This record gives sequence, C-alpha cells and structure tokens, in this order.
Amino acid sequence: MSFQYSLRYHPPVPAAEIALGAPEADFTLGPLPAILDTGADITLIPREYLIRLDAPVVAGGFLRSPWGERESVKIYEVNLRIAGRELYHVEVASQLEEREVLLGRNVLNLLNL
Amino acid sequence: MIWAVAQRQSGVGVWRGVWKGHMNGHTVTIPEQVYTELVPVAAQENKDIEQIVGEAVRRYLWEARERQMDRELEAYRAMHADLKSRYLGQYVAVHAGALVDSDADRAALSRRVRQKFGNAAVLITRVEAEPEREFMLRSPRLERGL
Repeated sequence: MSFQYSLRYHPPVPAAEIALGAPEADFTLGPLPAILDTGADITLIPREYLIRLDAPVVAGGFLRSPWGERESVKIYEVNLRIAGRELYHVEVASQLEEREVLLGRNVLNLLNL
Repeated sequence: MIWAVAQRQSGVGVWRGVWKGHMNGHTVTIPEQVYTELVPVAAQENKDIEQIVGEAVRRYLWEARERQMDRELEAYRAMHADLKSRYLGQYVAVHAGALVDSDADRAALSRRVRQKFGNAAVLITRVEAEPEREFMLRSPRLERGL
C-alpha cells in the first residue's frame, strides 16, 4: 500500500483520502483529505467532523507537542476507511483548532505500508 | 428522527418537536427574541429552523457527554490502583463511576458497551501502570500551501 505526496502543503506530505463513520454505523462522512504522520502516536480528527458523526467519547488523555507542551484532550471512537481497508472502533483524539485529519501510528500500524 | 415545525403563536416563538416513534409529542417554547434572530439566520444559511435546532441540540448533548466523561475519568483515577491489580493489560469499561465490563479484546468490549449503553459516555481504556494516557506528536505543524 502506498500513498502520494500532497503538494498542497509545504513541504509536501504523504496524504490519502479517507471516510469516517460512527461505531455501528455506515461511513457517512467523506471522502476527506488526511495527512499521514508517523510522528503522531494517535490520529487527530477535527472536532466538527466528530460532532457531525455523533462519535462517542470513550476516554481522555494528553497530547505532548514536540516542544513539550501538554494539552488535555478527549478520545473518541470512529470507524475509518482508507485505501479500501475498513478499520473499526478506532481511537482518535480531537483538537479544537485542527482543520484536517492527521493519521497517526495507531492507524498507520494497521496498514501494510 | 426529529420532526418539528416552528410557528408563531400569540407573538411567542414556539418550537414544536415531535419525537417519532413515541406516542406523545413534545413541544418546546423558545423565547421570542431567539426565534426572531433565528429566522433570518436560517434564511441566510439556507437551512431549515429544525436543522439549526437539531444541530444545536446535538452539540449540547455532545458537550454534556464530554462533561460526563470528565466524571468517569475522575472515577477511573480513584479506582486505578484496584483495577491495576486485577486487570492490568486488559480493557475496562467504566460508567456512572463503576466498572461495568472488561475484556482483553477492545473491539469486542466496545461493541458490547454500545449495545448496552448506546452513545452514552462510557470510559473504555486499557489498564496501564499509570491512570493517565499521553500521546506524543513529534512532527511540527504543517503549513498549508496557497
């Protein structure tokens, strides 16, 4: 499985199109652009998408930035489709200011890249 | 599905909402000033009144579940030492401040939780050495091209 680099970013980044769904539901949101980030422990989804999905909140935690800052976040559960693979009950975090999906290693490790 | 109509009655903005599937309907009254402000916003955004109210209610419920999750997290921290001695490495579900289920398989646990509790705030987490989870973001934020 391989992904093209998107030139919409500087520097270009590997990107993919995904679809999202709430657990026990169809994939109702997408296609959505997503960035592949092997430096992220967890996948980040814009809050607005999660509200539209009515994704259930399942946990809490902290995001640690490269500069050591720590931010409290909630963890939600979604279904995620990427490159024909359907992943169920995936944990994702949300940040208010996020504008796009960031696919972290909790998803990337499930793919044969 | 929520079915609803909005209408003016005696100068009062009245929101009538009927929850289909139930024998009894529900009527919610919104203040005249809110209704008056809502009508042009709905027209401007090309949305129905019921769509806007539905979105607002959904957002409120979302935030209520987040507040409930804060309470579940507090309960989890309080019971973490006990859970660690019995469920280390397994997944547990905490609801209303109590352990409600556990499993070595997270997806299986999640399916059972959704079947039993629907979309309610239920903490589902792997019991680890520390109660708080931390996720590293090692990449600096990207700059979107023009």
